Amino acid sequence: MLFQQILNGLTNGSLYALMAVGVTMVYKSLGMLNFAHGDIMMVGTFITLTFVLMGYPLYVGIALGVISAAILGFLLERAILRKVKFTSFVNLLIATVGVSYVLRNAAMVIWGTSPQLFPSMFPETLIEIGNFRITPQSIGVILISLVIITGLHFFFTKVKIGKCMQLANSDPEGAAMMGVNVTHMRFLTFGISAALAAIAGIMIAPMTYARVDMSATIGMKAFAAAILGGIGNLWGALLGGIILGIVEALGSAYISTAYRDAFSFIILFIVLFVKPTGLLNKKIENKL
Amino acid sequence: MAETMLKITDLVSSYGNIKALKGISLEINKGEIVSLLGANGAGKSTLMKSILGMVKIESGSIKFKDTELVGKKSHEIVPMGISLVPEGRKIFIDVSVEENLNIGTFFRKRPAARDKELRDMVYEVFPRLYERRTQLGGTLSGGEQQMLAVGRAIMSDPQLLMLDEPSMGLAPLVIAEVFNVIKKINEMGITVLLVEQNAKMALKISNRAYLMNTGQIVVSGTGEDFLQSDVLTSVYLGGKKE
Repeated sequence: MLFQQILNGLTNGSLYALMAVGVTMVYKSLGMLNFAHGDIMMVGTFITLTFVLMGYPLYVGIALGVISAAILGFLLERAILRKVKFTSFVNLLIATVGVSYVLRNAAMVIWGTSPQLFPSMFPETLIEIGNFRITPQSIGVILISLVIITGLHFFFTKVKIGKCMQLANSDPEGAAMMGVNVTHMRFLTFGISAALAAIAGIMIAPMTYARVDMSATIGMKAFAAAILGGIGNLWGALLGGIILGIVEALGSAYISTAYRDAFSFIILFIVLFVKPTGLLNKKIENKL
Repeated sequence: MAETMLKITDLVSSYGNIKALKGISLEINKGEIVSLLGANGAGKSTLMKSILGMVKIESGSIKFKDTELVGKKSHEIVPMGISLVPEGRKIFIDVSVEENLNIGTFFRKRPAARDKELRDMVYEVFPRLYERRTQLGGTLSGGEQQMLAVGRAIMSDPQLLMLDEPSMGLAPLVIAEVFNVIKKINEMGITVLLVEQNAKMALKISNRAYLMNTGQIVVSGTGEDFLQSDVLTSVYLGGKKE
């Protein structure tokens, strides 16, 4: 039972982590949380679903959903945030909240508010080891998330363009002076972040149904995970996501499922009370 | 007559609504060290940033050899062989010294052997950087960070190296070392444009100098001319002779 719950927690946690990584990347570039992150995830998920319902194979749908989300991320940066960024912090905050509302309401109009079945990319058969049951879904989700996050770490530390993205985000002026095209790097950051969100959404939807309001619950948990681990920190996002997932699973199993969504925030408050910078960050950054 | 490396004509730049440069003309010849002097707010840093395409240019021209730089972005200008060591150094604090140096090589196309040659050269000029090559940039002292910033600029194999206040915040002994290094860099064949508060030290190593005041060039001349005239004292102390 305990082990089973931890495995469930790991599964959800790695999805929160995947979302949190995108939150953290954009935070470094923008200096602020992107409140439309969850909505981009939701839109990517529904676009995938739409193509699947039109009769395209799931993998084609996934590719198109992820690409659409990335384009949405690009557009968000290019059309709105880039211009607002130079006015004020509050304007930037309102801009992302506004985009979030527009996407959510547009989605309600297009796809309706009722939950819809979403096909899984993994086989449905259960793997039984003794009285312990694992779904291929769990293993697939955990592996894919870990591979993506490790791959990103490699990309940011070993690949030239990834390094340039890091530099452009941590010190835009200094990076520009070195010849980094900061505008392109910011563009790319938003695109990758949005694509990751869509991948997470596509893996979450088979377990929770595809629903327009998934953007709010999962989006908030992604923020919580990113802040818990230390905002701006890639491994922090992974750690934060997994802790949230496990706390949530154990909390619902042993205390009450009614408070499922509250557990994440309780643990977040406790950690921030003890360590305001989040688990893995050393110093407080000046950004908000 | 020496070959012209950089020729600026009637340059007007602005920061927001403020005209920071009001018609600057200057020339830098290949192989020279040229100093830009002037009080705070004279527009020296703006001029450097304008050359690098980081400031909005209203009118005028900046020619690097035969290429017009006005209208180009910094990521297009840096690969042509112009590097800036910015004021306040701006090294990357959370990557290693070695990685900081590597970043300098990112945007210049040239054979890999040249990278190694340049790295050896940087480590030869700054043995301290070699000792600390695995440390994070942020753990270096102020003087070492300055050297790293200069080293990183050398790694980009510049033809024109611009240094903005390289002695700022450094101890006198370290300042002397920095100026020695600038001379060495120049002897390697790199043309240098230097902005410095420490006018006397800058003039001693400069071929020529320009004195700026409120966005304009007031006087130009050789380093010797400046050292012998009283124009420096009069400008730094506020009063300008008519």
